[in-house]
Amino acid sequence: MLRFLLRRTLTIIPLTLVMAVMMFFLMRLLPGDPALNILGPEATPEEIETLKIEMCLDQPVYYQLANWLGGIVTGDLGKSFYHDMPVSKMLFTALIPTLKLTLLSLLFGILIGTGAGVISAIKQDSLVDRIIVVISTSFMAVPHMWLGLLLVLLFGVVLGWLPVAGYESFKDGGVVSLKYLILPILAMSTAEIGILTKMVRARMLDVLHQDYVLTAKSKGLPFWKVILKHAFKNTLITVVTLSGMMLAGLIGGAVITENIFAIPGMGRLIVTSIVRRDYLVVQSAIMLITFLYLFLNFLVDIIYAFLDPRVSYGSLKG
Amino acid sequence: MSLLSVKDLKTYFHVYMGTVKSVDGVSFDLERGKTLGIVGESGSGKTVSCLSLLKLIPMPPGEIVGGQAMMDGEDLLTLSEKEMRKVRGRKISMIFQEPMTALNPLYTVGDQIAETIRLHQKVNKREAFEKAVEMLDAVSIPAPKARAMSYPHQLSGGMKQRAMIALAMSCHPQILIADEPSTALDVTVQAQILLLIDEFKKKYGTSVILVTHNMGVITSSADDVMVMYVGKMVEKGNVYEIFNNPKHPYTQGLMDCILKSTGGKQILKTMPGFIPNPINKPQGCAFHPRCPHRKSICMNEEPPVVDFNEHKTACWLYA
Ligand SMILES: Nc1ncnc2c1ncn2[C@@H]1O[C@H](COP(=O)(O)OP(=O)(O)OP(=O)(O)O)[C@@H](O)[C@H]1O
Ligand SMILES: [Mg+2]
Repeated sequence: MLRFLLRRTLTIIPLTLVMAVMMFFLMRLLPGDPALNILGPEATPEEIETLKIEMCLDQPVYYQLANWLGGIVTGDLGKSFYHDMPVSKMLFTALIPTLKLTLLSLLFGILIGTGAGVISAIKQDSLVDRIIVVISTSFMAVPHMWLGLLLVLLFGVVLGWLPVAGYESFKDGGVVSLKYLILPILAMSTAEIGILTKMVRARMLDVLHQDYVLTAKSKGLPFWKVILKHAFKNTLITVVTLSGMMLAGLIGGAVITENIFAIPGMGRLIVTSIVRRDYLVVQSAIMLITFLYLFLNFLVDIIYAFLDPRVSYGSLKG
Repeated sequence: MSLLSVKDLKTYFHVYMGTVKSVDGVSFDLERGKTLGIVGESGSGKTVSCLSLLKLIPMPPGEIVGGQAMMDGEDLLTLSEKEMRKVRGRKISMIFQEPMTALNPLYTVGDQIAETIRLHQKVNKREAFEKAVEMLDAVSIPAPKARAMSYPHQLSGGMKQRAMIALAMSCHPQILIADEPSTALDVTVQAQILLLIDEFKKKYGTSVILVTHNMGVITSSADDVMVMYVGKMVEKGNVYEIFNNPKHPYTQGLMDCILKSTGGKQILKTMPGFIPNPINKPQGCAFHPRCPHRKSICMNEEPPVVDFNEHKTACWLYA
């Protein structure tokens, strides 16, 4: 197990760096000049040249790359071209809303999706089951940006129950601040709920037909114990696998959702920074997201080992 | 008086295509400390009969349509789910064909046995686990303590079936239902498992219902035999009677199969014809399309049960 942990940690770092280097070059392939962007079309060539020197953009590309990577090692991500602010600080402020949004969406989706899936499976072929199947199928089919806009229209504009857009930090607004996240979470988690419900239902039906469920019943266990202790625990592995896979989608989805709902998170930061050609911010933000994604998947693998005794990382060679 | 007396048990499955009469009026008695063998081809309703006794038929699509199963003065089939839970695992236990999948992969073997013990006996967690270890010892699993802490995937097939027997016997039930307990195991292990069940039967006076397709297993382990064919009893009686003097053409056919294959030449004789579609059973005697002694009445009317001194058969040849 220890070896597995070590090996995985060691793979996360190079993968993150590869991603960072790729982003570095991709940014530079984009047409447009950061200095020109900042100074506007009226600027004289001399002014642009001075700013370029200040931002080290006059240096050869490999030098810029080495400089940036060197900075990362020492914990200095550089400064934003646009705001007079260290990139690390900007990332940190943007990371919190994004983490809140993705993790809460994931949690909400898991709760509703597994709950509905399990109920649907237990009540197979009943009216409840049919309704759940229809709803989950349509949830899977609905694009979440479109749904987000509809939700805003209904709850924000027509009913006026929830704010249309915006964000408040927990420190400022307390629990009430979460009202800004309700619509984004609903929009983000629908597809996830649809997929999870379907997969959990299928897996649960499969598990319910397994011999060990019959064994559990033949012992004299009460129904709910058979379901929760014996059947559901075997379904949980599916939930964990899917959650790990859905994280990628959620992180991607956050970019769009944050823009619809004007949440100052990573997605918004990346989009605005790309438009501004704020190289250092984009590079570091993508690097951070890559790292987070790899790290969360790593956590999923560890949860696996705890859930399923047949998974033993200790015995893996290498 | 017999320990369990089943009368006219009927279990149907209502499926899309129609109604499957999986068990259609089966009656049998199980004597104290004796083994009743149930034989019959695949699909004859052996498993469904057993599951019906514990009310473990999936409902829907299944339904216990009628019948009685009297044990200790009460009819098992009329018990509520709550009362039934006190029968399962305590009075009647069951082991299944596939030891590979009968244990939950996520819990240790010891925990799964202890779970049953805790359900039916007033003991704490630690005592239950100790009893589970004792049970594993009783089914001759080496290093029972270590095995109790193992997960099912760490045990071999034979070992798992032993563990299942330990689980089933952990509360000393009066009846052990063994549904093809050795079919999935290799030949040497098969015999050990059957011997083990016999041992428990002798030691605790447990009555056993032993389901199998294998007539050989019946000769070595059963006291009484019931032969089933698509949901009906076709013949039942003492094991010697059934073997030396099979009355029903279907039983005779089954006997022929083993006699020929153990006769040295290893020619596997098979019965002509196929098991009928359970939704659309032939009229009259269900066996008539395959029967060498078919009479015209067999095609139209169901045969009555003829009793030759505790040896019963449902066949028009003797009516
Ligand atoms: N859950 C179910 N739904 C529908 N039909 C079922 C179900 N369970 C059993 N049956 C039907 O009941 C009939 C008897 O099945 P059963 O499992 O009792 O046979 P069996 O004698 O145990 O056969 P085998 O030797 O293959 O185990 C079969 O025709 C089967 O299709
Ligand atoms: Mg069977």
